[in-house]
Amino acid sequence: MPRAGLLVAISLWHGATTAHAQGRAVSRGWRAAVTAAIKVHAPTGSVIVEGWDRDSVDLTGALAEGETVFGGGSAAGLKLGAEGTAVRGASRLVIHVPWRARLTVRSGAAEVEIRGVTGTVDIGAAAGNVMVSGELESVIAESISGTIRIAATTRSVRARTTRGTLDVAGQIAEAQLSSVGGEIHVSGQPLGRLRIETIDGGVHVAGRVAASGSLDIETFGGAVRIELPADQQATLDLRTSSAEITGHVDASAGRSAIPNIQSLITRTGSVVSLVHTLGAPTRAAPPITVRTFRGRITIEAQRQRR
Amino acid sequence: MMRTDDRFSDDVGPDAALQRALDALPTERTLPAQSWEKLQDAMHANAESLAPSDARATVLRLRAARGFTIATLAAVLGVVVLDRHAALRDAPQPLSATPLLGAAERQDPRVLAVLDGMQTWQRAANDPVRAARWPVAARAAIDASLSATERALTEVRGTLARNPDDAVARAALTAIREQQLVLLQRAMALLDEL
Repeated sequence: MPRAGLLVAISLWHGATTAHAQGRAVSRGWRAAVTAAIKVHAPTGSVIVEGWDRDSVDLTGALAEGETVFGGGSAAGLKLGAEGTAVRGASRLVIHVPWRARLTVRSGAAEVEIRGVTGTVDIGAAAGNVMVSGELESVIAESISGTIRIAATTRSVRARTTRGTLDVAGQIAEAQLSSVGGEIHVSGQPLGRLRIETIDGGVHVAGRVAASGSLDIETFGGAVRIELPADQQATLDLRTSSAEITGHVDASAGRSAIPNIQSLITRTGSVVSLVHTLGAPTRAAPPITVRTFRGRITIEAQRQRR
Repeated sequence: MMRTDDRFSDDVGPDAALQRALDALPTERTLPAQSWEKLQDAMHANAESLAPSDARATVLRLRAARGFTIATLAAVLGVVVLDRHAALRDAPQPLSATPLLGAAERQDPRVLAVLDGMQTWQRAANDPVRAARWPVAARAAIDASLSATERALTEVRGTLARNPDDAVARAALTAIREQQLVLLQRAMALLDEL
């Protein structure tokens, strides 16, 4: 009998602590127009915002102790999320919104994930990481200390980090990416008009630059690495004030092979520069411009050797 | 039964009345036996406790206790001061490079805007009400970024001092200032929305 009592006590204690760790369950809903402007607040924990084909907003999940759910507005404009100060546990919210909604998310330290929406998305996070995926009209994403990952097909991306990594992939017509010290990685097919600025973060761009596109990179100390397909048409204008330019480019139609890029480099004092056109001169050649103060520039535009 | 009134009671005579009055007087209180001797003993014991040699020891004990308390407080104060000094020393100093501003920079509205932004940031970060909900990681990232940009500016200024015609360095100076300005403006906007 004492053993049975002990087991009951242990199971009750386990149930109580598990429930506490999972947080307080919450479920709320609001009516919303399919193109409603929706603003979500998430102080801590995580929030997933997912598009669905209904004219309503649904919030489910678990709340940290000390936080409460709020929400209100009209069908055309809603504001909702968690508020308060979490004293124990972390909120885990899943919010379904009409997939064409115009979405704004503000996060303190919460991880933010956006998927399945097609309207405009504007995310601002103080300390949380941000992940956006899908086919969207445009993306604005900022995180002060977190990382940002965007894997999307969109006409416009504006993304900024301070120290966190910025990782952008997909089919992007126009992008402006910047960081102070965070690494910036871009990969896409094709890349449209792309501008990258960073102080100390390294930059890595891989993919084909569209004929109507452009690549403009500016760093202070961050190294720059550009990987282009062997048949990329481009006008290169690369310059570093106190570092080196390295890399390889292949011969393209009508051109002789250039085994090493060193033969194209000009040196003036400590300034190293390279101005060169890749590919046939008759075809449209998007400009690729790199300016860095003391970062190394590497450009690779060649077929993989086997 | 008929009620008896005192005014009409039987006359018991003056002796009885006198005796009742005497009985009504408070009884005399006398000290307990040997109380005076006990009082003298107590006074004597008290006088012994205040003897010159014991008083000196007591004073020394009190002085020692006071000295120990003062030393302890001084040690605690010292630890607090050292800790504060270490915190200030280790903390990023975003404005550390501003005395190095050249004449042209002092006139540059972008530079002035950045300096104004830095002061606003520092005031806000030190405001316990405004900054109460700001994540520590975000604040640290902003301070670290300001320090990094100031280090970069110092490096560029060094290059410009050696070669004033370095257009790339001048462009870098402008770019870094713009980054600082945007960083401060966006950070404040984001944090104030929390």
